[in-house]
Amino acid sequence: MNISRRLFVSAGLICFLGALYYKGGSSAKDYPIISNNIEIFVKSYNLAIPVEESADIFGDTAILEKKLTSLLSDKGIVETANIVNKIIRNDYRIGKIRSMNGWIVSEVEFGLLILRNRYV
Amino acid sequence: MFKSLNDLSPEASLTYDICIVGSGPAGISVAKTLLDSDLKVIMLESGGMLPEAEYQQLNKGENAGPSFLSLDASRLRCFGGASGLWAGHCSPFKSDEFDKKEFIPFSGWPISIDDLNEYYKEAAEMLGISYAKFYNERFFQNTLDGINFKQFDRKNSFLTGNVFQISNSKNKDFGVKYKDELQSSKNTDVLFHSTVTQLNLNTDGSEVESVSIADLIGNKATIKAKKFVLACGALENPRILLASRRYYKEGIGNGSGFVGACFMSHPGVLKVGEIYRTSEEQCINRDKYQADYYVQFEMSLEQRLKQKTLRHVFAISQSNGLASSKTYIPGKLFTRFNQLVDKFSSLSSFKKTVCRLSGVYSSNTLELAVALEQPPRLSNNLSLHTSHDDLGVPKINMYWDNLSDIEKRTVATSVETLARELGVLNIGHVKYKSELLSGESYKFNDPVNHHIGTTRMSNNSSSGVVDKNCKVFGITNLYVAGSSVFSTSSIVNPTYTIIAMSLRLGKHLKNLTL
Repeated sequence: MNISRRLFVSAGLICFLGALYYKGGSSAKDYPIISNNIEIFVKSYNLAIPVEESADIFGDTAILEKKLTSLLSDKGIVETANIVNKIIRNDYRIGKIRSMNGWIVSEVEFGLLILRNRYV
Repeated sequence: MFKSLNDLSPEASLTYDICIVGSGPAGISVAKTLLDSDLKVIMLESGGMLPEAEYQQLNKGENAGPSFLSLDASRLRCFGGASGLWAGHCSPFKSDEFDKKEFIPFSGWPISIDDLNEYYKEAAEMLGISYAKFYNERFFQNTLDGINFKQFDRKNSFLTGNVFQISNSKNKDFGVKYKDELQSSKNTDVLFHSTVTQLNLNTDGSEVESVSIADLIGNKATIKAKKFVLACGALENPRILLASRRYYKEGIGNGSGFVGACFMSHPGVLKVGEIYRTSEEQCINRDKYQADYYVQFEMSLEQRLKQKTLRHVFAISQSNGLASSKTYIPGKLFTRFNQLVDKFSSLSSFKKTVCRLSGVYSSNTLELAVALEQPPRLSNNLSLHTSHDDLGVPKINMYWDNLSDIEKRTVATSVETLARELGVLNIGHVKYKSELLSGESYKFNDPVNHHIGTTRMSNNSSSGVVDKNCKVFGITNLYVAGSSVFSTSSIVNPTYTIIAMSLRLGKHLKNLTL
């Protein structure tokens, strides 16, 4: 297991606990559980691109969100991260990549960066 | 025997079996093959035993193209020629480079790697390097370990590594290494200060009868021979052919206009990208870097063919200073820590110093540059200028164009492919440099001064100057040695292949006369 993975698990745990704490003061309507799961995931997922480098990107992430929602509810956060890792690696393998402010990222990473802008 | 033109009687006329024009790596390699044979050989050197300023001036020429090429920076008119400047980096061509590729006009050689392998072995011995090590897996793996990119050895990797060996100063300077052997040779004379000013053809223009030579103090002579070999570099070989226009107004061997055309070098495009390593490893360990070999990475052959790109190598170097921790410590949780690191640069310096003291370089940011082969292009060409040098020979007029679309595409695609490989391995990200995106990176000066392809080898005279035996089309006894005969440029340093091909030519000439 490499450091990214360890960071991911620890960061995920902290975010999860933080989210639980934060949710306590809010209504379920304001923070629907599905959105929160994606939010927690995106916050804890190890995206190496600095936040400020991807602050200006936008796009349609509906399909990615739908997929993440489904994965998170079926597999949980750690397994979802593993699956996302595999998808990203496959993106790179088959050339599903794009340029974002000069950074060369996979399609899925690009979607995650957009989601990160929304939540982080 | 070593002599100078000044030692001969005025307007002397000497006769030999073989006349080699030029005493650089190509000329010496041909001569070495003929040493102690029954053939009477003369090697003509424009300069002296050591470089002389007056003779170096004969290299001067003009640049007409948008890209500047130094016409005298990497050339020496003296015994040993440019081997005296050569860094000694050796790597053989890859076998696919001899094949025709539809996406590279004029690509394909009339010979294959099999025609060169035995001469590569012989050249390796001359240079004090190991031919076997170029193809030794363990040796290759060790070099990967040395730069901590052993992950690149993934099966079906988009990248491959290419081993270079470095010939040491004792072996690479042919002027020093072969001085005694040639000086004591019974069948070979070396004549200094003998610049060829003209190739003189016979009455029907099918054969070179003699060469006219001159020095800068007014001496002149004529050398007659059965066979002539031009071996004075990819700028001077075409210059002599073009300047010899008493019989053919377009010059010798230039019926199809290929003399001087398809000039190639190895443009280095700097500032193309940055690698941000996200793996645990934060230092590059140079412990296993050796003084006499290294590996450079490039796209695999499969990817190169699939993406229709030219051959190239990545130059991966340490970025200046410690990388911002922001680039590899993820998430907002570490923002405060990142800010602290950024704020207190002394911390960065401290970490850097510790790493350096312990023998490693600290940084997760690596700078990326790409050096690439050039495709043969008619627009990159050498012609004769209207001005003349001190011996009355027209100067070189060099037109070196901007990088073409395929060259630019190769640079961008190579960076993208490296990013993909790092992504598959999950060990880093790549960011294009803004200079590449703006096109600024493509404004280059030739950093390596490799001169290639101006008397190219081809199957027929309609697309080249020499045949597979390096003989000039249409002339029965004129041969060319050196990188000017390369059909394509590869990306490896040309001297090792120049030597191998010259040994092959020498053997061919020897066999012809047996």
